[in-house]
This record gives sequence, C-alpha cells and structure tokens, in this order.
Amino acid sequence: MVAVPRTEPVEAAVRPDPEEDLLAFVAPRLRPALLALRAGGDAVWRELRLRAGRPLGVVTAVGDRWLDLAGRVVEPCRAERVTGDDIARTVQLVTRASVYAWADELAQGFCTLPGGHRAGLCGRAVCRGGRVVTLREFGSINLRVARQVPGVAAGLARRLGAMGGPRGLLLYGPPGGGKTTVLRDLCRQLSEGWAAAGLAPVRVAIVDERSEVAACRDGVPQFDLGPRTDVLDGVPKAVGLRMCVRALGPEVVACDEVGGRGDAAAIADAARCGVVVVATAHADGLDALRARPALRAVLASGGLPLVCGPLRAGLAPPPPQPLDAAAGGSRVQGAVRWVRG
Amino acid sequence: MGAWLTALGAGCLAAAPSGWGYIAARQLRRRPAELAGARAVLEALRTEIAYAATPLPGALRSAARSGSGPAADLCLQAAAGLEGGGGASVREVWDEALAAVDPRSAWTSGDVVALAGLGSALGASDAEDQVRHIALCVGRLRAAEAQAAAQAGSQARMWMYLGVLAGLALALTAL
Repeated sequence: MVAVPRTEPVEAAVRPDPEEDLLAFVAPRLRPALLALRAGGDAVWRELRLRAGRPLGVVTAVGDRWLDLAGRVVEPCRAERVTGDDIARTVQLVTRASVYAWADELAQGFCTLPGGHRAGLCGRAVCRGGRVVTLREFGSINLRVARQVPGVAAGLARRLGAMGGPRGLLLYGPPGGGKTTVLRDLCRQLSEGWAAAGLAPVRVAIVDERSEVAACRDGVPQFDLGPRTDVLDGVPKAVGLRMCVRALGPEVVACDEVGGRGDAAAIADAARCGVVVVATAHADGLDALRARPALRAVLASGGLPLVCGPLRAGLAPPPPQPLDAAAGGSRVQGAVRWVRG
Repeated sequence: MGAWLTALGAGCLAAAPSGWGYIAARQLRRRPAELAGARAVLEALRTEIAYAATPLPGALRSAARSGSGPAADLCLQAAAGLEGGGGASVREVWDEALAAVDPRSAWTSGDVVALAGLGSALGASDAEDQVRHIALCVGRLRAAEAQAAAQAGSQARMWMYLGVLAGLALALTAL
C-alpha cells in the first residue's frame, strides 16, 4: 500500500442545501424524520439508506445513524422500519413514475437525479442472454448526496502546476471517498487556470457517462466546472473519449470510474494524441488497483503516469505520485509485510 | 285557467320520463364512442412508453392529445397529479383522476374497473411489461366496446320510446 500522508479536513460544501434537494425523492412518510434530524443540527448526512423491513438509516461523516420517526438518533432496534410502500414510493419519485424509462440505468443499478445526486437501487434483476436488462421488485435504495466542494482539489492543482501543468492522473479510492468531488473541482481549477500556482487555463472536456460529474440537466451542467469545460453527457467512456478528442479539441479529458471494456485503449489513444487524461477508479490502494484486470490495463496504457489516492471522504487528497514510484513503494511495503509476517 | 294548468301539468308529466328515456338512450349511444376513444388514448400511451420511453407524466399528456373525451381528461388529470410531486403513488393518482372523470362519462362500472386495473401497473415495470398491461386493458375495452355497440343498437331506441310512452301514460292518467 502507498503511504498516505496526513491530510487536513477540507472546507465544507458551499451549495446551501443539497440534502433538501434529495428529500424531494424520499417517500413522504419518512421526510419529517430526516427534516427533524437536520433541524436538530445533529449531523449532515451524506447518504440515506432505505431497506425494506430494516431500520431507517443515514450515513453521516461520523458513521451510520439510525432514526425513529421523530428524527431522533436511536439504537437500530428502536429505529423506524422502512416499509415496502416507502421503497415503492421512493422508487416512483426517483424514476418519475417511469421505471421503463430508466432501463439502461437500472441495469447498472443506479439513477442520477437532478443536482447530481445518485440513487443506487437493489431489487430482482431481469436477465436476458446472461445480461441484466433491468431491475424490478425493489428491496433497498441508497440515496447519495452530491456536493460541490470548491477548493478541495486546490492542493492537487498546485502540485500539478509545480510539475509544469496538467498531467495524466488517476484518482483512486473506495466508494464514497470523494473521487468525483475531487475530479469535479480539479476540472474547474484547470479550466479556470491558476496563475499563482503556475497553471495556465486549459480546455477541458468531461465524459460524464453517469451524469455524476457535471450533473447535466437538459444538457446544462448543474455544477460550476469552469469557463472552458465541455461535457459529453451519458456517453460511454471509451466512445466519449474518442468523440471528445476528435470533436472538441480538448487539452484535458476527464472521466469518472474507468475500468470498463475499451477504456484502456481509449485512454492510450487520447494520450497518444497529446491529450491529458484525468480519471478516477474504485480501489482502496494501489495493490487493489492492480489486482483488477481492467484497471491493470488502464495503468499499463501509459496515459495515466500519475496516481493519487486513496482518497478519503472529508480529507484533502494526498499528493500525486508517479505511477512507477508508487508501484515500487507498494512492492517494497508488500515485501516488508511479507518478511514481518 | 284550470284547463291550462291541467294541460301544463300533463305536459310536465309527459316530459320528465321522456327526458329520462332520452338521457338513457344517449348514454347508451355515447358509450361505444367513449370506449373507442379510451382505446385510442391507451394505444397512444403504449407507443409513448414502448418506443419513445417518455416518462409517464409526459406520456400521459401526449396520449391525451391524441384523443378526446373522458379518457383524455383522465390522462391529463393523472399527469397533473404525478407532476405535483406530493409523493402519491401512481395508483392513488390514477384512481383519483378516474373518480373525477367517471361521473361525466358514459362508462359502466365494468369499464371503470378495467381502467382502474391499469393504475397499479403504470410506470412500475419495464417497457415490455407495460405494453402487456396496456394491451390487456385495451383488449378488455375492445370487448366492452363491441358489447356496448350491440347494446346501443338494440336498446337506445327502446329506452327513448319507453320514456315517451311512460310520459304519455302518466299524462293521460293525470287527465
């Protein structure tokens, strides 16, 4: 594992009330409990977990919390039970009463909501030819709050400036670690430029397959991504990367959660065209990153010479490291662990 | 003066059952047309869902534009209910719209039951399943329409005559 330098908490979100945006998608019966929790100032929740027949839960910066219907934090056994009807009503609000219109997204297990929030859904999968075509009979929903945190990538941008400008970079971390938030802010900083840090403004293109980075609604990004940023919304990354390079003339292309089929080749192509690629991936460490075949191919593509991670929620990202150095460090640490073991 | 009042009373007595017979006959004649209208609206809804994947409120509005009569009103009211964002389920919104539209329509309780069945399915599953549910409802409406057309042909005139004759009989009795 790469040594993670001590990092400081970053500033709070500036968007006034992203939780309230999300409450509009929650079953009406449960809204008062969540409103009461907020009114009590007890905790800012990052995720809302609804599981049929299980206690009503929220994930805050300090961990899981269970709520009764009055919004009090209680033990799980005393918490309000989420009913099947709550789940059905929430699914209806999330899908705008149109499960059929979200088949592609449901096949991947999520829906992106206005404001960039994400609903992850669990249910019975409908498969055809060994492929998931959609979900039905929903049993649980996870609503994740999307926040823009201006400045969260300032340290990263400063270091890239010190290196002479943007370079291919892979941000990695566990789910909920803030990769998308950092990527979003990095795109903004690169697009705006930062003379004091030695960063000239550049044209940025974002391939936003899951509409999470820019949260486009009717084609308009809901987040501030800088003045020189174009967004290709809903396009698969491998296709979108090539479309961007051909059509938009970007200097930097950003995409979230690489690791799909064709991503590595597309990243290598973009790098060969002289475009800097900034991407994110799910992994708790470099060893985990390398253990995933699709990501191993992405790393081997040569388009991402720097890695940064693992990113943790609420903490500023660690400094980027050259992939070779990081990999070497990882091997050394691994060897030390083996000897000690 | 007395004779005039008697004649006026007899006229009223004759008109009331005649009007009632006329209304019953008109209801019978309207029903096949309204069922055909409902079928057309549901066919349009099926197209919106299966081919355009339009979200349900938009699909209902679009389907309503393709027809007229109570079925179009039903779709418009349901769309408005869903867009309200109050968290009511599709079934609740659909039932409420149906309850509001039903008194103004010539539908029978059987027709309303067929349409109400759609409320619990609309929007809740993939396109293939939606098409199946709508086709089932359309099939029921088609059968009801054929029955209603036969009924209108045979019974509408009978109700009109019955009303007029009943009115005349009452008037003669009064005279």
